[in-house]
Amino acid sequence: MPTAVRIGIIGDFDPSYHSHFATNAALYDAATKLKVPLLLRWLPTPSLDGADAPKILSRWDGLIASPGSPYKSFTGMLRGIEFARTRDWPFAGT
Amino acid sequence: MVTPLSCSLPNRREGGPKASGDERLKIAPGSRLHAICGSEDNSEQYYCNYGVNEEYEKQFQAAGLRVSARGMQGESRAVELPDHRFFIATLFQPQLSSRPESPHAFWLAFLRAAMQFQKALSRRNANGASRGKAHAKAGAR
Repeated sequence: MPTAVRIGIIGDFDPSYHSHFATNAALYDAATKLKVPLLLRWLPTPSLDGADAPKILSRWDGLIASPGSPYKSFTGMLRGIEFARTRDWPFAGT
Repeated sequence: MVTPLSCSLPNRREGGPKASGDERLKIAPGSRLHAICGSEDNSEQYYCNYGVNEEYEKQFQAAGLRVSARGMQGESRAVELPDHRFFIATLFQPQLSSRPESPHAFWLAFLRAAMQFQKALSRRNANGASRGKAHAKAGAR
């Protein structure tokens, strides 16, 4: 069994927002096609506006900035993007 | 740096935001996005009310961000960092046109990048751990 690829989605999951469901679905479908187990978690923006943000973010192999501003914590979102940019972490913002 | 869109997409969905429905794109040859998506299927789905403020585009470019896709009127629709292992941001949402039987190439490429990075990280950590042991030994002597 290959190691699961761990993806963190930075954003505030809203079950009524189609784009959020579509993000999860597209990732699971892509992982199925690549035959790799996927560990997918949403990282709420307020959880990233503190000094421990890098510790939380570095647990993931790839980071995604979710659609759907305004975010609960714009600072948290920016910290997430900044982490990916400056630490050369795989990042997709859609 | 982000501004409300001044006009709607031609195929705006009824009741949807200004950028909803699909729009044709011009993907810049030589960009990573072009390597991923090619140019044969360059119509993408949107669900958004905002776009890049074109007044800041020069500053983005000076900072190293490159525009990798544009709308038919030349508006920025995707940006990327060429020197980064994978850093792409899009105004369109490839997840909206992804299908179980044909997941969008963008997400396949992103997951592949994350898988490669995971391997690189574990190698880095393994080296770091052995270095750590060597330090501990040296300290014990």
